[in-house]
Amino acid sequence: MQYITAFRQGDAGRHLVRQIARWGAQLADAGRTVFLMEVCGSHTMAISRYGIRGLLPRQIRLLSGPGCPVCVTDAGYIDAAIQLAEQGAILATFGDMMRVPGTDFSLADARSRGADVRVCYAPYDAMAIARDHPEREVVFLGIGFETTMAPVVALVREIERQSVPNLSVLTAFKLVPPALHALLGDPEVRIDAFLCPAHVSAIIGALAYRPIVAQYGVPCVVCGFEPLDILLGIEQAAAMLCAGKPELVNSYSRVVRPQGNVAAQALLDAFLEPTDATWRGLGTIAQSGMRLRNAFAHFDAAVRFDLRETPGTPDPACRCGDVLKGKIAPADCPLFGGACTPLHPVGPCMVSAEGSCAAHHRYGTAEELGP
Amino acid sequence: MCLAIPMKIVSMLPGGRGVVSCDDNSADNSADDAGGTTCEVDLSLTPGVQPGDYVIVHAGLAIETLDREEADARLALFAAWGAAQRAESGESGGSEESGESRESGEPDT
Repeated sequence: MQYITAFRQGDAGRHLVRQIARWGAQLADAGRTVFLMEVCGSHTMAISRYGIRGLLPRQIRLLSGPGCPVCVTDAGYIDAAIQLAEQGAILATFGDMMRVPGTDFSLADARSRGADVRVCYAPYDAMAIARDHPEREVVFLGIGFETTMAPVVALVREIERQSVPNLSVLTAFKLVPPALHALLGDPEVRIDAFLCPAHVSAIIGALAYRPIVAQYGVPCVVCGFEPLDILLGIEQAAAMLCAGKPELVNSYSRVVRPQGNVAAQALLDAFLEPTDATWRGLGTIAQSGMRLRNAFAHFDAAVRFDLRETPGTPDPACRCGDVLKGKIAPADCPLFGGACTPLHPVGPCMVSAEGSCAAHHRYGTAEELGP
Repeated sequence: MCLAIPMKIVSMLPGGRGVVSCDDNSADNSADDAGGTTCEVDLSLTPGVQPGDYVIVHAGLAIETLDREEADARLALFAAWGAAQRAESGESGGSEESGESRESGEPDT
């Protein structure tokens, strides 16, 4: 397909790799090594899949950030969802959520014990489940960053429009910019530039990162998920770091507008308001989440069923928090590949296919060595 | 999680919805080839779109339109770099453009 595979041409990639190598040589002459964080899980997956780390000079390192909303979903949220299923509700969820560990069980475990958990491609699919089971409560597990908030809130709008009585949403929405601020405010984390998420940016707009550049002097490049997009994003970030001129670059202008999708923002604003949110591995970040406004509280499963979410207690040996912050590489975790594998994940980074640990486990760690 | 793919609008449906196609084998840009997988999506957040337009679809919702001019301009740039790369490595590839001149950065926000 023209607008997918055309962004995977090898020769243009080789050209970009040579450009990046030139910046690497310049950094080596100056005795510098720079750390670029790709914030988004889809970037993490593409970087591993195409072996991009192995193409970079040692002076340019990629860190995988907390950009997978499945990975950062707190165990307490899974526990609350399972509690609803035990009370007889049908759970409708994105497939990635099935193996996320709760305190004792995952949704997959719960299903094998008799819970009614159904996987949807789109939130809208939950409408049909609710229609087919008018005698039962159906709860859609509404997790996600700005990108996924849009289809979940579109579902809430549809529930309201069609007055569906037995469908509600258990939300765990998270916002990307507050997490970037939290990472940059952590003295133990070193980030020299961000590769900003592609489709979160489609919603919020490229200008959303301007305060990051202004406040921290950290270059931000919004780039797409195809390998040439990513290589160009790395090249542009390296160029700015070498020149000492941090800027905001929108390198995904075929999709991302400076102001974002205004219609989507209006929809989100009509239904949601900011709230504090717990990120697995990062802890609670002020005003980094979104919840349904009071006027729509009757669509909120936590309100409808009077749920009390208590934060989960992760395995103390799991280093996902440090992986999510880019402090350690997945292979540095003592559980990686042994006690923690994609089939039996301990931490969230191994659960979702887009988690840093799952991506490294699947595509190998040889690329870590670099040229 | 935030994966979304460009799909071409085949037809509009009532209620702000539409049918889109992932035209895997389509080399041209004509609006009427609906080969490949089709599915129904919510087009309410991309007002003004018409059949033939490309939208970025995530979890059953079009989250943005694809700007064909921007996409084609970027592809032309990549094609030129690819040609330059082939020329330098001594292959006689069908390069429509040569010349390696480029600016780094491109602050096109």
